[in-house]
Amino acid sequence: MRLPTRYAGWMAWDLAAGPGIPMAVLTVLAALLTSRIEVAGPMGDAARAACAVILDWTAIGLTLLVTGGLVSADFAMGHQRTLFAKPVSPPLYYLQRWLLGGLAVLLGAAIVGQVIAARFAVPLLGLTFLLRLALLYLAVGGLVFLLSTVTRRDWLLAVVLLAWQTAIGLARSMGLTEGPIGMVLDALLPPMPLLHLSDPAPAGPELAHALGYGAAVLLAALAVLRWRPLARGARA
Amino acid sequence: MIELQGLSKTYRSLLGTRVVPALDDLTLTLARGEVVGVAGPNGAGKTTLLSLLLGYLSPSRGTLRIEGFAPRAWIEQHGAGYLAELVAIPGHWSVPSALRRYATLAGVPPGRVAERVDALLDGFGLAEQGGKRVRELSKGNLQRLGLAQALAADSDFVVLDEPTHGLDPIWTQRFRDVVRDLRRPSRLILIASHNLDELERLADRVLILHQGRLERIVTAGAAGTPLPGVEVAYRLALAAPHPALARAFPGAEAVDGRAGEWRIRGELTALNRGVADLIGAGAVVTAFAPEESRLESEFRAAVGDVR
Repeated sequence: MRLPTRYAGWMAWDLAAGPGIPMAVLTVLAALLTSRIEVAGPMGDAARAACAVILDWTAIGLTLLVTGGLVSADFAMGHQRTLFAKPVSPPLYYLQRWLLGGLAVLLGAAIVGQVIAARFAVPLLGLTFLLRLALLYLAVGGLVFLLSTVTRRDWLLAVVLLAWQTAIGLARSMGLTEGPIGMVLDALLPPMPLLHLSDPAPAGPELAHALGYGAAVLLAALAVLRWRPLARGARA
Repeated sequence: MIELQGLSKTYRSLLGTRVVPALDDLTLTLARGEVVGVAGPNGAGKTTLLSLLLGYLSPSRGTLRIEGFAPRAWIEQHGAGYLAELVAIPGHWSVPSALRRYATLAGVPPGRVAERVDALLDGFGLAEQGGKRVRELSKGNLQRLGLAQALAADSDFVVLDEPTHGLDPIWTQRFRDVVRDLRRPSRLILIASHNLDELERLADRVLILHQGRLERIVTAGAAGTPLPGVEVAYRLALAAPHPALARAFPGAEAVDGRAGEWRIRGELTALNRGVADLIGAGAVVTAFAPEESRLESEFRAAVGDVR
């Protein structure tokens, strides 16, 4: 098996010159927003909670930006035909790209986290933060990666699914219950309540649930890449 | 090197309501050292065959092995030099960086990438395009970039799909030299093309596909030699009209728009006798050439008049 590590530098360059730009913009906007929130006075706790939400959604936004089109963009343009005549495995090639995307998400989220930590004088960054962020990227980034192996509208579908999940969460918090279809869909979506970056480190069943979900979608994405055709039968 | 046994490919729509057979029951062996042409009308299954050979598609029936391995496994280990029918390279890459990337992916050692890329830029006349993005290239230059990336590494399996599409006559000629230089005992070269003249010049064997079936295989050694006893069509050109023409070739037809040229038909030895009679009668023959090559005749016979 030949690893595509020889190509990692070019992938990092493409990431910086492509999704890296909107990711940087999002990071700067989130950092500016959190740096301007009032931290003292009667609204202090609410401000802290708002910053935590901003941090979560920044990480999710960065994840969507870096994983959207991860596979589907190449297939839509036909680039894969030239790429995979070279001695390289498609699953390993895209896994490497996905991992580099994870590093970029870590960088952006850490910057926003650092701003929040400095504002509230709390030790936000650390192993717990890293573990939470890794779980979030594994689950959300893994899902978009999987969607990207089967549809060109992966990021749009991911946004719709996450919006659905947010709506379900809100409905639940208002005491409403979802129907059987909603429950099935909910089980297929990332366990978002377990993925808040500013919460304590997950453990036990929660950790197993989040890890299991993320590993399942990631492995499914790699399996699809192993078995899907690398060219289209355009005539059917 | 490559064994195809009863290879078939059928495309199905998502719900299976539409079924299109693309290749049907191909059995064939392709050996190292060969240049093999693949010809056929549009939709004959040429690109499907190449996609199966590269492991991009899986067969619906039959088997395909490269040195005993499934194509994908072999390609991921050794790589192939592949030029796609439609060259698709990200438009924002610069020309040298595209070649550096593909050379790196193809396994050229890091210390030799720059040297290899310089050789490719020079060899394919792309040095002057070094400052351009891929999206800024003309069709011909993009095709040359596609060829250059296909040959970035020293692969023993080269697959070229419509390689001269978009090339000007000079580069079409140079392409033939490139293929001749690529020939070596350990390498198999496959060329799919609509250009029969090109295949006739380059290939040892030409596979003629029609509606997914391998209709016939034409070997190059005999490609220019009409079969004895078979009527062939030739063009005859005279420096000036001569009364002996009607005697030597009673059925000669003037070629529309070509003054002094006639189309003559018959068995080759009979045509030669006619030409000798003409010359003996004082006519000056300026050209005597087949109207179509053996490959063209075989192609027409295999596929008929495809419209």
